[in-house]
Amino acid sequence: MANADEPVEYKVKAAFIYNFIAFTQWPEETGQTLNVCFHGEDYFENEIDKLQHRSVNNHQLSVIRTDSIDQLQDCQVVFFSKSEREKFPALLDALQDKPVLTLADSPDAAAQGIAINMVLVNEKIVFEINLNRARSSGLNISARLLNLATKVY
Amino acid sequence: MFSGNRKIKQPGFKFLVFSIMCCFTHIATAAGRGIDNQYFGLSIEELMNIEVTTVSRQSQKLIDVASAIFVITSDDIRRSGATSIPDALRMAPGVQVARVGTDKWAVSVRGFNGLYANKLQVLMDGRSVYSPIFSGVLWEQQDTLMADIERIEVIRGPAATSWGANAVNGVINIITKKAADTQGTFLTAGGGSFEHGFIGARYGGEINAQTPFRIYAKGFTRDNTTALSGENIHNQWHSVRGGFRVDHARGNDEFTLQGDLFYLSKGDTLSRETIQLPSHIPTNGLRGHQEGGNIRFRWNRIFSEQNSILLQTYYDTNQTRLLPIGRTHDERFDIDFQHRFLLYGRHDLTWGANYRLYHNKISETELVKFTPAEQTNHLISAFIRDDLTLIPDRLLLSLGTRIEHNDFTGFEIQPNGRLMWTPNARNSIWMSVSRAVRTPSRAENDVTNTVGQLDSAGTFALPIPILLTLQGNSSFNSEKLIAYELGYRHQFSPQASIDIAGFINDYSQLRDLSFGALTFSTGLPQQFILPATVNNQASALTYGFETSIDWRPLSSWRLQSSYSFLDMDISSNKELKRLDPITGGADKISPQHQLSLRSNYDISEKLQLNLWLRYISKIAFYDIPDYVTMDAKLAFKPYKNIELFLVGQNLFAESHREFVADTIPSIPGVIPRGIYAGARWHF
Repeated sequence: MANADEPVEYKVKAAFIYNFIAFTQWPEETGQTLNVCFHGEDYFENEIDKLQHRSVNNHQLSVIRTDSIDQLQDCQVVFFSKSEREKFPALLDALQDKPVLTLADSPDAAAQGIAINMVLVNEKIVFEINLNRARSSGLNISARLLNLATKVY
Repeated sequence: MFSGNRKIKQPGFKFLVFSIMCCFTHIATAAGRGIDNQYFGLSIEELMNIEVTTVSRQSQKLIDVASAIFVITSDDIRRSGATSIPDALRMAPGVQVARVGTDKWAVSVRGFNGLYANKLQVLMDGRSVYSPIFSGVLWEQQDTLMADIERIEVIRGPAATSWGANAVNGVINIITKKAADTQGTFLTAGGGSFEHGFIGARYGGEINAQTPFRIYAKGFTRDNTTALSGENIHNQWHSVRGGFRVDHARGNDEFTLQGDLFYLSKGDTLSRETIQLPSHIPTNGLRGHQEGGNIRFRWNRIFSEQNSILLQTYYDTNQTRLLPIGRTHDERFDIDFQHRFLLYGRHDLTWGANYRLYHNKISETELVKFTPAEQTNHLISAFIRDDLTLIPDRLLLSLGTRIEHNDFTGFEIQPNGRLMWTPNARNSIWMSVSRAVRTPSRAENDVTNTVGQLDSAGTFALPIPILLTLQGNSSFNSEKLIAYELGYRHQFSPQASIDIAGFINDYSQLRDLSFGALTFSTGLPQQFILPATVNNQASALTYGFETSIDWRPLSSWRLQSSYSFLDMDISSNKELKRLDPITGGADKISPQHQLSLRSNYDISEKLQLNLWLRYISKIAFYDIPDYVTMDAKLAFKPYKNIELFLVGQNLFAESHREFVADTIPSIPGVIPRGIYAGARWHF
């Protein structure tokens, strides 16, 4: 049987992702559709499908599941599953300086260059932000998120 | 799972909901019935406040869901007005709780109750508090700040595969809150007629964001009870305790360091009718004290949802002193390792190993002698369990066993098989077969004590009194149980559910007593001395069922009821049946019917009225009649963080009888009506 908490944990993480997108500004040339890519092993089951076609700040969300680096080129948001932990440096290199919001839920991912990383602390989800990475990709992360982050790199 | 429920920060409730609903969410979502993610509507701040895992990560598994489990939440405890853990346990179905006096309780599950009920395992934050000296729990020592208890899980039925020997009739897990959930300052104080006075304080802070801690202290003083005759038993009870907890999270790792210290003083009055006491020993106004402490360290590494390791170790020590009865010193060291991982996608495997060291010393008194007085014992065990998905979300099988080696009986094997079928989102059915053993205590091996004067005219038609002495037996073996259980849960609506569990327990090699050779006393008074010794010749077949219903007719009103039925058939030494409350007379010790009905009603945001009605049928062994009683708590919250409360306990009669102390010759007290008032303040 699956662990009891998986559905709740990933429901809440999906809601966080929705908020992260809402509090991030993409460069003006970004199109109307934001491709939200989920890379690697899927722990969300259908929770991420609930993001499909939602609108955020005049953008439409489109959910895409990806499993190769090439597929990442069209994404504006990428969530890296913890199954990809070992590959973070290569994946981040491929997205270097592109206006892509990188997300993860693996320990120390923000330190490695993921823009926003969710961490479980005392059974609650908190997040860390790598501001340098976000800025160099041309993204503007709202001050409200920065204030709530437990750590800003 | 929580639609429309914003009070998500209730892990206990969450767990209960999960226990009932666990497998339904999956089915619902897999079928694509498009339940929306209600969390999308929450703000980031709100999301950051949701607990996404619970401390019971290790235990939230099929083995628990496919068993008769009942969870008492911290909200239940607060609303009940219960001031002690055993009194709170009265909320759970299938649990027999009987107060013997101010400071003593007998607590058991599914029968065989007694002052040291020996078939129930009890843990506080993973630390076993089951005494290896008496085979039972000293309930007066088991306490903490009631507000810091997150939940109490009551598992009925054997759970030895998970929890080890002596989890025969059930397991009680008392789980305190994480340090992160007890932040800020909490103060409570009050007093009343029976609860003379109590005070509690806790401070929770952070060493850093990943390292929250708390410290607490509490104290109380409780009135004496009186004997049925009206005589004061002088068992006033004073207790102080304090402790701390530090949690630390780092990446995949969670660490906990926790400790407590306590001191309590209590009194007793002995009965010369039930025991032969040398005349120079006073029976009245005896005072004794107990003190102890424990420290626990736990390390949990979570690689993924189904891959984790747990390492826990603790040291626990306590001393009791109530002269002339006895003086004990008991120390325990325990180290436990568990590893859970997923194999071939559908085998959720858990295995583990445990080592425990017991060291205890029982000082010789005129009444009790242990040979040897001081002893060290070792316990080693290992278990493996496979929770296997036969049909995803529908049919689950759990198989496991524990192998244990103890110094008294050698190897013990305790296997368990459980099957759970969830035909649809509203129904689940489970069944199980398990074996568990109750291992001998030091007392059963090593004791010599004077039990008392037999009613020789009645029993043996002799004109001269007979003094009965109890003699331990080093060849005393474990008591065995094979249990067959069947359970059903039904969800009528999100507001109403029912849980039914039935069992047949087949016990063999139960402890019985047999007589040795009758000898005539060498000194005065003139009497025969009859040694009784323990053997394993009794057996029993018990059956029963428990049902609990949870219904929220309104969002502000919750009704919880439970009914428990128990029937016991015992084969034991006929001559001693009416003298032995432990086995021979056990069928007349545990009430056949128990009913509890709780109503928690929020009159307004500021005012709550909680009522609790209980019926317990008679205890024929002690000629204790059945009783109905009620507790009530009125809580007023003038501000969000202040609660003023007025509690009435056992309201229906000035006093009632609940139990008689076996094992020690205390005069039993009658349990009085009690009124207390107080306040709690959190900032």
